[in-house]
Amino acid sequence: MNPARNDRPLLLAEALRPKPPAAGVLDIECRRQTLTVMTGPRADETSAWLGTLAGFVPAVSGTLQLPEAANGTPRIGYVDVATPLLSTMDVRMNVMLPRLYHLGETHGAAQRAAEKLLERIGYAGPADVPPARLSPLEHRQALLARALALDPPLVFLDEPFTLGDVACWEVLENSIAALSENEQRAVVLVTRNLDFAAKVADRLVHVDGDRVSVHDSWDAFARAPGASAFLDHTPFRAGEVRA
Amino acid sequence: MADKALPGWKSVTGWTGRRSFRLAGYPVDLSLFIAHALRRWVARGHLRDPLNRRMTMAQVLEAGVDPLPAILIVGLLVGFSFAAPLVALMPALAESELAPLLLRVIGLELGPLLTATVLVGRAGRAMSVELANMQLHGESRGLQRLGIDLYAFFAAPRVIATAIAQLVLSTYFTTVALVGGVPLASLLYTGESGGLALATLSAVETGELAVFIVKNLVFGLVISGAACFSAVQVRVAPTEVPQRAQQAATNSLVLVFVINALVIGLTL
Repeated sequence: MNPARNDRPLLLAEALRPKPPAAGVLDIECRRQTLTVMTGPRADETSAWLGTLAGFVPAVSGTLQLPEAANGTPRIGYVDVATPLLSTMDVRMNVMLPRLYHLGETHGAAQRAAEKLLERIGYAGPADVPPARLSPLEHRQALLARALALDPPLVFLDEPFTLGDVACWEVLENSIAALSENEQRAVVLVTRNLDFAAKVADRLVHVDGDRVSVHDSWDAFARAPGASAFLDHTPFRAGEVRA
Repeated sequence: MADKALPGWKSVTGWTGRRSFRLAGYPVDLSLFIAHALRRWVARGHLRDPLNRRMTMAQVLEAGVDPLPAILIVGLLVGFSFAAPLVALMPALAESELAPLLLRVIGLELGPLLTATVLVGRAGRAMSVELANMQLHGESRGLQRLGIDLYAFFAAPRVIATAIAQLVLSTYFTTVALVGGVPLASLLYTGESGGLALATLSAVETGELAVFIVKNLVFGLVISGAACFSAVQVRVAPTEVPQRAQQAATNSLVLVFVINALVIGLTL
């Protein structure tokens, strides 16, 4: 794909080598309106790769370019259920916090922005309760809202589909798909929800030990050597290879 | 591996040495932590920043208002408890001789120390457990990923608020003790109440007031600094939370008494 002059990649990794437990080397670029799925048999490897791509964990070697932060305001969003909402604040305040901290907004302005964001994501739960009172789906939606509070162009999501209730997956799938399609963000997502990956992924990154491969479509991934072993053993129902 | 190969007596001395270095280094580490937190808070705009202001004021209310009833009761009882034996057993002592003694003991020494003890037990422990749980459950990591400075956002407002709370509560303690407890003792044992309290308050000197203010502010910084410093060291196990809270309480109490002794040595 020839990039437009002003369509610079939001994420550009060249010969990126992460720290353990992740291994291998990755070259990748992510532009607006793309959804990249990273998957593999071991969760610790894929999560470590995501942290490296987000710049939270320094890489051993290689280069990484992310959207520039102005005045320390982060230009990426990161959602990880292992880093939950603040338990000492209610949902609304959690979503308001990045705007209050980085933008210096008044309480009223931040509150209106937070409520609009929660509505846009499809959050139907209460906003004035502590996170402990939320359902798993509501918690993930609130985490997503907090990550989007500063309108980042690049969003990372680490295993958002680890929900016991399968019916909630569709709600979350729609929210995540809308991030790249409707809101023109670049999304990098770690998941083993291969149904979702087959439906919406623009690119797949398969991580298996020190073997890291990038595929431009689900079909290309499904036909790759070694993919069948992973697809056969992955607990989620694998999508069929499209003819 | 090398330690396991050493004979027992060498490892005992090694343990003692390492422990001593850790103990001696603790006040330095704590001071650096507090200074770093305050510097980051100032760099973010201190009270000019609306969020800084909101967080700090919320912490002042939490640290200063909650222990107030206990402080008032203890202050009254301490004033009575220390004045009563002096008034009853040394009736020959004039008010002009008794007043500076009561001011020194109750106002400058017991007031700050007992207020600090109450604050360690209430605000210090609560702060330590709250931050330790946030650290344990990954909440603080989530904030760091949002680009939020934990020193400026969490530690500094608590440190500042506890310093202010210590000063205000200690003032309440001393006032209630000298204006309530002391006259009560005097009334019970001599039949006269107002003179001793007035004499005590009149004995306040500017230098002693300055020492009172500085000492209380330092106590407050130490109490909350120790709570936050211990809390951020929690790693993976839930059992670390009460251990760190206990460690913070013990360390801050010891430091408060050490600082108090140093101040006495320097000012007498």
